[in-house]
Amino acid sequence: MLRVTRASVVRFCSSSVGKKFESRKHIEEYLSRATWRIEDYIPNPETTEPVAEDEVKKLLKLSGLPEGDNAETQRRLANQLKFINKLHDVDVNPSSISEDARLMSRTQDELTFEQLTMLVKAQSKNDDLAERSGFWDCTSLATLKDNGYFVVRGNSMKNRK
Amino acid sequence: MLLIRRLYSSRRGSGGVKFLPEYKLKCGLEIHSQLNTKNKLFSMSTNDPFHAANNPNYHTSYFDVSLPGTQPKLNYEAVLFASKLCLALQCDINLNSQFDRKHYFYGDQPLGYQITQHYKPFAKGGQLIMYRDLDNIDEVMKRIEIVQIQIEQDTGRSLYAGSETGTLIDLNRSNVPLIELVTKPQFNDVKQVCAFIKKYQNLLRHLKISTGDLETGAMRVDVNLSVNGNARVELKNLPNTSSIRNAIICEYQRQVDIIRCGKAEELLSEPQTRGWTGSETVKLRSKETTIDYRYMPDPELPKVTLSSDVLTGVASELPELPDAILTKLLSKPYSMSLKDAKLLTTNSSSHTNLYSTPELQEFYMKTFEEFCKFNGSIIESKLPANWIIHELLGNLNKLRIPLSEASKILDPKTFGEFLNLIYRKSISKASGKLLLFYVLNNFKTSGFTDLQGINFEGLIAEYELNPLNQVDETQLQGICEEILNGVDDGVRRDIISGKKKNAIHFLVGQGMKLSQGRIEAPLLENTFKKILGIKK
Repeated sequence: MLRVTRASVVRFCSSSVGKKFESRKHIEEYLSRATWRIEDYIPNPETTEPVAEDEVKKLLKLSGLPEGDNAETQRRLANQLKFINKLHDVDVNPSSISEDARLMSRTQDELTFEQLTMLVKAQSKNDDLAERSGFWDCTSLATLKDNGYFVVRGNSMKNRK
Repeated sequence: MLLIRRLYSSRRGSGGVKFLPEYKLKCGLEIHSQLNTKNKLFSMSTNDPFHAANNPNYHTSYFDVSLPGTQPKLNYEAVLFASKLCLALQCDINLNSQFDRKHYFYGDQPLGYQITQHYKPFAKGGQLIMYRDLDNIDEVMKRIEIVQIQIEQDTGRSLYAGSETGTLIDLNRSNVPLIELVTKPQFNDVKQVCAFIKKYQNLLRHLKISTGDLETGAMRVDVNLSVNGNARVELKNLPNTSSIRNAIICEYQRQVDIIRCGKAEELLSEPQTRGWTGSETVKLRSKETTIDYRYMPDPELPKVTLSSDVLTGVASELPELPDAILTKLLSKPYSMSLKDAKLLTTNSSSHTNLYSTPELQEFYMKTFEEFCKFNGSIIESKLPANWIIHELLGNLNKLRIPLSEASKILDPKTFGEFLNLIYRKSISKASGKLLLFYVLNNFKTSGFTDLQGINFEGLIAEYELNPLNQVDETQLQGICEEILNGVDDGVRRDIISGKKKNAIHFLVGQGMKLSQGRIEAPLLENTFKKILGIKK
């Protein structure tokens, strides 16, 4: 994402066309050349103000995560927040509306009864999405499994909901 | 110490619990029902978690197991089913509803959130009305208003037993469409709650949008309950009607005990979530452990925007609703008994039945129509119901023949003709029963292949089943005397004196047996009375 943004900035600011690539090696070299540095975006842990302990405790609780080394979490969270803030500072096209910053358009055309009926009739399974039953063994990649079931460690889930 | 224990636990309610007027019960329901769409809610993988219980994680697409990069795509069959239900319950359907994310962490929900409808649910308002006559409640009528109806996805299934190492997770149920119905807290009696669940369950089955089975988890009921306006307690994990009933009674008694001890302010001022162990309600969550679900509109799903013609279109395809059918069956020309009419309108669990309720209802209606054609006017309106519900179904159950098979030789027209023979007394009821069994049994023995039309008149003649209307009086008297000779003198005296008036039916039964059902019962009864000198 960052790379694309940077690349478009280059395109906007310059009209020059680079030298023609002559071999696969040249392409690989070009793509592997860093155009930005992580350090530009990740703040220095030494100088970052940690997030308040109460704030961290609240967030851990909301996320259903156990409390551990809170000082470490305070520091890491602060770094992550600084990184996110940097992302927010990236200059984007000002004409775009923030509400449209979605993966999918929020609104769609009204669906008529006929269209609704057609959609219901036209249901079909897509193997690219593994929608056919038994298409794949979904537990095959799991570290913990038992007779076709996934396994979640411990019984702490019991009575949660 | 004893007192404290009473406050924190609750007892199983006894059968005839009294809801005391000074401790007012107020209940609301949240009912989740799985929609039986062909496919799941946000993927096209098969929606059949019940039958795949022994084949875990079989119906699972990449989205159902939440593989990174997968996205939800709405299955509009769920929208169609929800529309049917909402129209049947007179709800206001939101033509612009949306899906939201409800975040909580749980092993059987790998997305980390449930896609539900929080900010703009599918429908609001609506009602379900119960009646004393039809629904067995104490009030003449009870209206329960609906707060909202929303579409959401089910979670996977967690199995706590069977694995030493942890919880087993089956995602066949993950992403199955659910309808959540929330009522206003307008129930004040456990009888109303049970009647509502039964009626709602029947409606789901009638509309063919859900199996409505509590036993399989296709329907799950949470109860919100408060006494005398104290904070509400939510009762969860109630697997069947008796659990729902008993949990309400127990929780009511627990709260009444607390109020009586003057501890309401201390113990009943904040909302609580409690579970049901089978004998008592136990605390699961209180205010301190309430989960913040951090609802947010789902950015991957567009709004569900429907044209208003969806409402008219769905309404035009809605079947006649159960209450309307019930009322029709109780009125003329059918004039059915409530019990029989309910049998034709109450959709039961469909896993093991030999017939479905709509199938039976259609068979009855058509047979009634055919029967009327023979007679012009309806003189014996109860005859079709009696013979279909008691005799035909009895035989089908006994012989394990599905109604759909039996209809191949006994279609409504043929059955109407058969009923007409009974009505015209071309065959006695007793012989009619024998003949019906004979016909069905033969059909079964042929492996349901003998599809030749039934010639009832021919069979009656062949087996000499025609009733002996013109029985020779001397012969009839002979039969009756023969039977009386075999009876103890004491019994004879008791019948004559009126001490055992009904014993005469025993004698009639003997006569029927002896004549193989060909002599009508009234004829025998009159002869017995004549011989014994009993006034008619």
